[in-house]
Amino acid sequence: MAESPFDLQTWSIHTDVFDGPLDLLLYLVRRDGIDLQNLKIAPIADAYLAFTDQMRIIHLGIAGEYLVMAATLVYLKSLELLPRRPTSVEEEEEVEDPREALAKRLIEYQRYREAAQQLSEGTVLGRDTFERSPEEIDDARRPVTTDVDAFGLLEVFYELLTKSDAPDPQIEVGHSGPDFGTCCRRVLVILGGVGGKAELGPMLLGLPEVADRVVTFVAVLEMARLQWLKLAQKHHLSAVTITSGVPPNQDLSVLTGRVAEAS
Amino acid sequence: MSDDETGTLLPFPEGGVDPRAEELIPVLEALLFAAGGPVKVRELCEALDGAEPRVVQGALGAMKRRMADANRGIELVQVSGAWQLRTDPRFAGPVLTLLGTRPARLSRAALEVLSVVAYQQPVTRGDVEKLRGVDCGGVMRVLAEKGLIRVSGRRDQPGRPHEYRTTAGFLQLFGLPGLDHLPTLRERQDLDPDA
Repeated sequence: MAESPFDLQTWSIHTDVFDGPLDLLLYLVRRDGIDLQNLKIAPIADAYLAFTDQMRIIHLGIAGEYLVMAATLVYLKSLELLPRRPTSVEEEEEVEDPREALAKRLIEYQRYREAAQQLSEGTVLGRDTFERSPEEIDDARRPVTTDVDAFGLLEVFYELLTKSDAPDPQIEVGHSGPDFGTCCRRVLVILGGVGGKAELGPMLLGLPEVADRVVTFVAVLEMARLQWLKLAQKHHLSAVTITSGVPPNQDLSVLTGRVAEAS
Repeated sequence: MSDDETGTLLPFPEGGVDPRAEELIPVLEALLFAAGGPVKVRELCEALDGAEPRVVQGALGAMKRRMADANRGIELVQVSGAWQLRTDPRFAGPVLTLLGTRPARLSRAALEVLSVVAYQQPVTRGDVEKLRGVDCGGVMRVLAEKGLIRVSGRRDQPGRPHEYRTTAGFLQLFGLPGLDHLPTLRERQDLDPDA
């Protein structure tokens, strides 16, 4: 698709300086001392367009809202410049002067901006004043009561010390699961040397225990990472074939750190 | 605590303090300190085994004046239809240093959206955007996440847009007893274009 001037990436950036077209307009109204009660579109439209042009020259993206306002201003300016078609009195009354409508919007916006200003000038929690973190007032939460005093605490502590003199408990460590090195070796033996092939699925399913299957699968991945094995598939979802690139007695010490070579 | 409770509190009598109220001042101080957050007069009365709301109210008023007169570092304030002990704004600097936090900040856009919602509630996102002339969706989402505005219903118009109101959290943030204590919005004719 051809590059559109309305490409979101280039046009959607808000400037930090102005928060929307009304904000910019209000700034220009103040800067140029334009009377809102008797708004003339031409000077404000010119100032606005000059400003948005500048924003574009310094490569600030201009959000769509600014463009809509620019178009509106140009339209209003054209209305102002062209001689008005004579209209009947009734029609004149019905249609609101677009300049007045714009001035109204600006005045309304300015009111809320001032209100926002007033709010932020007040005492703000977390900036000017601070509270203790509020406690949940909750019936389910009961205060902690205790039957012991500080001496009771001491007794508990002595009891604890006595207990710690007891002999250390004996812990028996049972079967620790399949060994990584054993699993690697098993795969290499099954493949039977350089060029040996096997299918991954049946190989794994041939192992009786789930833990063995999992560790063997990880072993295959690890050896593939080391390029000892090649994994290949004819097409999507077909069987995975493993081809060995190393002899069955390949030195597994590269894997050390995680492998205790099986005896 | 419901979000909407912004009812004004009874005025407390100036001058002398009812002896029954006088008695309650220390226990109220203990309750407010323990609670941390704003506590309603009703909740205080319940904790005090059914003390009279009017008396509690009077005691709180007297306590507030007394704390202010005694040049204390904490003050008693009315927020969101409840009472709370807060630090005196004079000491914001040292408190921030101690807590090692940055002061709470709201962007100008967030403040403007908040003020539109506060003064015109219930409002839809469309209402706010019409007034500010700029997309406000992101700002309103953040304000809702911060618990300063909330969806209060849907407007009966095409699309059934959400209507938003300010929350108790909003009143607490700005230390307002209720929505009727918002600064007065200036009348249009008062506006000075050079302001």
